[in-house]
Amino acid sequence: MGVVIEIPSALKQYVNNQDEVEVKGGSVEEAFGALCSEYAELKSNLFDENGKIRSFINVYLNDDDIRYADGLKSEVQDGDSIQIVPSVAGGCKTEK
Amino acid sequence: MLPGVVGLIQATEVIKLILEGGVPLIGRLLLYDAMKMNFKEVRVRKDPECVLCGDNPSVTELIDYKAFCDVPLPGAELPEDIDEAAYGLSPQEFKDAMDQDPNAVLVDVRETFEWDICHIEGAQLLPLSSFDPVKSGLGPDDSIYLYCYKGKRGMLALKELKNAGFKNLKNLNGGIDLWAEEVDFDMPQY
Amino acid sequence: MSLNNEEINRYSRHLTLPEVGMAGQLELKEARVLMIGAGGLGSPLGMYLGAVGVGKIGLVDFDVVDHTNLHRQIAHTTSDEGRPKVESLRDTILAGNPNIEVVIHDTRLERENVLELFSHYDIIADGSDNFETRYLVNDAAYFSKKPLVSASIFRFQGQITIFSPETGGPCYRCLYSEPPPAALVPS
Repeated sequence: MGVVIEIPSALKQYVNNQDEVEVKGGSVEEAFGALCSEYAELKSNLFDENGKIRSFINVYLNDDDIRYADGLKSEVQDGDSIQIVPSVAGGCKTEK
Repeated sequence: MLPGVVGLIQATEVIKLILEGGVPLIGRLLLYDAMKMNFKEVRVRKDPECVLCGDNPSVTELIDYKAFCDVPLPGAELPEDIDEAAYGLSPQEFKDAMDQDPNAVLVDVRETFEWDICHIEGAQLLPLSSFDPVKSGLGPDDSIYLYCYKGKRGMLALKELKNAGFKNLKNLNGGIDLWAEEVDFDMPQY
Repeated sequence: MSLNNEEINRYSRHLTLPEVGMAGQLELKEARVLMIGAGGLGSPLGMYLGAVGVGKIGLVDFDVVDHTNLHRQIAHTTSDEGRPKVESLRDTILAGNPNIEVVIHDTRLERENVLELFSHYDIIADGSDNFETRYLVNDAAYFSKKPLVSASIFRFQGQITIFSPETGGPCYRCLYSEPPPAALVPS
């Protein structure tokens, strides 16, 4: 058993349309590292060029924002759940 | 149907605020997923560093929201800027040019689900989401006619092709949507 | 403020609920709610707020009803195509409950008009479809000291919360400090 990362619909296209991906890791950073090594395209959508989580994406570890824990260094254990929640403003419009 | 569920939760919270009853959805973000049919709740804290409501606010009056939201994509290599007018054709011009062009290759850069709704006969599908000029199978001598839904994605693909060295490029202004209005009256609009 | 006999009869199942009762029903009648957006979220929101007897509902939207709206924006019907959404939604709400007041604002929300508009209402409900409006509404609600009931959707997922900094809660900027780059926003 590992850590389950829940993928929002806006990012599902980068992980073969899965709702969630189970990975191994001792911290949020390691879990995301494992995720992005498997799905390389996801990386630039999650992180900015300085390796920080993009400002319009929140990451919740077991329902609390990692900003108020140790950020990416927050420890995770098997069975924990990480939720990625991007800012959305819609709307059901199609792309132009 | 999604907006129905979400709008009614919003209505419920408005009513609770008016009646000052129950536990309002303050400090909690409710996430609803219709496909999984589940509700999750995450905690939302007041950020002491918030530029608006934090301890040392820098936003003390309304700002220019258009500029604020016009965030460039950091780190992304933007295709070289080109004179879009020189490459865009109206639907009728697009059709006429294509009909007279023996090397014409018609490329649809929309996504598969859009192709399934409708497409122009004779086109090949190369979705912009996975568009790669090198792997596209397009040849250097091809005369490439691009179209999308409204014209924007076609122009993005055109810039990528131009940067990759392709020369004969045209884009359908207004996309298949305008094509349906001006050229093919049997084409559905979506 | 009081209820007439028709209203007492109409709201009788509310009046017998201890959580609402006559006092609650009168609070609903005195309430003034401003809705941003008269589309997918605004349709059910407006129809229910009207039906339960919210006394004054303001509608802000500058869009007109399009054929492609009809499958999800259920306040608008086929015969409403081409009409301003605020007019169509107002008519639907009033058809359900003629006792209330619906004020329409067929305009784009701007920084020049937002504070004046908000001053006539107690609660703001945001169902808009773009980030510019969401940050404008958030900041204006903060400066106006009004709670903001916020809902947004993307494909098959929805997010709902209340921003209420004046009672110690967070605001939209506490949740998302910046919007996504414009290039990543499906428009």
